[in-house]
Amino acid sequence: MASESISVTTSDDQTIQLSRKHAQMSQTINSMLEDSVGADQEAIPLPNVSSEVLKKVIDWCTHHENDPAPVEKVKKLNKKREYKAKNSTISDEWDKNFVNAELRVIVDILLAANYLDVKGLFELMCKHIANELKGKTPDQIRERFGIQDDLTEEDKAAMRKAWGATKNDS
Amino acid sequence: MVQSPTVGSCAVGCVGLCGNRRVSPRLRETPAASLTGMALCGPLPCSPSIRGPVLGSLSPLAPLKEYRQSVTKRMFGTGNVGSPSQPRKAGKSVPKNVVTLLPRVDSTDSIGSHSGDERLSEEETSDEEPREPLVPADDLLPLELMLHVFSYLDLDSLSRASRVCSNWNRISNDNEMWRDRWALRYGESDKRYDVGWKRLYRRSTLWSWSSVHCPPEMEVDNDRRTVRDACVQQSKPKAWTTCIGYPTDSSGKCYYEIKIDRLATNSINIVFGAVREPPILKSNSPFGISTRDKSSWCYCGDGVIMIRGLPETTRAQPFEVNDRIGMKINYRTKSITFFRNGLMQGRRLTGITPDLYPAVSLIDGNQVSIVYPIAIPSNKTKTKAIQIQLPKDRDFSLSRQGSQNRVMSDEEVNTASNNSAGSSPSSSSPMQFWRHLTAGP
Repeated sequence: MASESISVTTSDDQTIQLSRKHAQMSQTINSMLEDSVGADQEAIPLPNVSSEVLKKVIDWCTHHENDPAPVEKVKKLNKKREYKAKNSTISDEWDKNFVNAELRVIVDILLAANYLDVKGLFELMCKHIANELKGKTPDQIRERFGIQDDLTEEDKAAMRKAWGATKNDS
Repeated sequence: MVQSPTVGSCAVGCVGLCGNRRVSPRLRETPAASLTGMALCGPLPCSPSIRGPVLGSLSPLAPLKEYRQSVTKRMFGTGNVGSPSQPRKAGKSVPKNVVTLLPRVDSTDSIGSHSGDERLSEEETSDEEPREPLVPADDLLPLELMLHVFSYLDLDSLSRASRVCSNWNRISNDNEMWRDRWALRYGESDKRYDVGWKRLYRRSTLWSWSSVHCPPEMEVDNDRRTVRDACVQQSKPKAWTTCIGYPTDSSGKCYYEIKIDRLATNSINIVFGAVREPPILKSNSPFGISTRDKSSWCYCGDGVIMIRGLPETTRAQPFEVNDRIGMKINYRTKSITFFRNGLMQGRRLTGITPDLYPAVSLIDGNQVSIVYPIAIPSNKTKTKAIQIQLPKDRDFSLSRQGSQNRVMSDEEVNTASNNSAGSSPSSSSPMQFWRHLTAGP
């Protein structure tokens, strides 16, 4: 049987130990482990993830280690609620605290979660960014995310028209 | 402005990437970008059988160069990066024809400010950077991830996000995202359809007839706007049939409007209103008429407004061909108001329950279609209340033997449409209404 802890090497050349349980929450690491059964247990290189971000990911995994495995729900036609959009509310209090971080960190965690294929964390970060976008005007979004405005006023007017923008839009 | 030639900072293998495509200083500092050197210069550090990321169409360990190119290629078309003949990667793609609002963007145009101008960016990067530089939005997150984030947005937010910059506008027009939205909402998405899902979805978001809750005696057109009673040819007496529509959200105000395309005479002919539950689809009477329908509010074609199965005392005007019948539901004030040709009918009815579905009952080959109004009529545009006694023989039985099954002639249609287009339908309609009632068998 393989050892209980896995070591990984992050992009900044740090070797971090994490428990097998946490490591297996990442599908990417999990499949690497499966592929290397019987081979020498070397440190797994994670060139996309910095140690700082990985620690955050491990934090999240620790808190969610006992969550039931995510089940792929087949969405059935629900007679009354089929028109509801995807829900972006974050219900877990710990998660709310967790996403309360700088945008840079959030984006880095999201990229890491995508790379490591940690589904729950990935969804959480996407929801958080979506919540950040909600209820903001384009100007506010640009300011919040530091995005260049490369649209002309005519473009914006045309888009507003095409979308049938609501009256409280700016 | 944030272009930064990073030739000096990474290995030789990166020159191709960094020399001709932008890498913002912001991204370069992130760990994701720091992989650039490793992934390109060293052998892939693990086996190729690794599963891909949640959304990514490329392996997570694919060289960043290839990844960035595939992203930018899909963002900007195949014109400036890579060879056009190269097949697209499977996965999300932005159809080129969906963005017709913007002038075509090429690398020297509106987003050219961050591509190719090396001298400027050298100056910038050498600066202290007092505040975080503005970045092109696709440097914030790759396309696939942004699509996923956008899938959580409601339409209003998505509309606003699409106006942040041209890249987000492209992403928000992604056909497959709209198809997924459609699937989420209606539980079905036929991939064979090569349609503009955004258009379809947007239109259906307004509201549309449900093909699921439509009885077989009724026909719903493909665009879900028109519904008709399909049993004209049958000699047997047929029952009323009711079709409900998908409502819009039940949080605030909703306005539903239909146009009467075809109107065969019957004592009631068409009933339009709102129901709490999907009603019994086929019954002897239209919905809302009997007190069995505890939560229904409807406007009958003979000008009677029914609340929970009981008639109102104030009368409304009867339906005519080409009339536009509107229903305004305000869930905040729990009220419902009916309109005919933009004029309020009856009084404002209060005490409605949440989650009402628009519904229509049809008989005798009548046909109505949904109109998406430009403006919602106000309650102040009130017509004179018409006080008419209820006819005793108000007959909504399933038989149509008694009725003459007469479809309006062209002349009548014209008169009716003139009336409906005119500014004062209240002046002529009462007389017609009387004729309508007294012209029975």
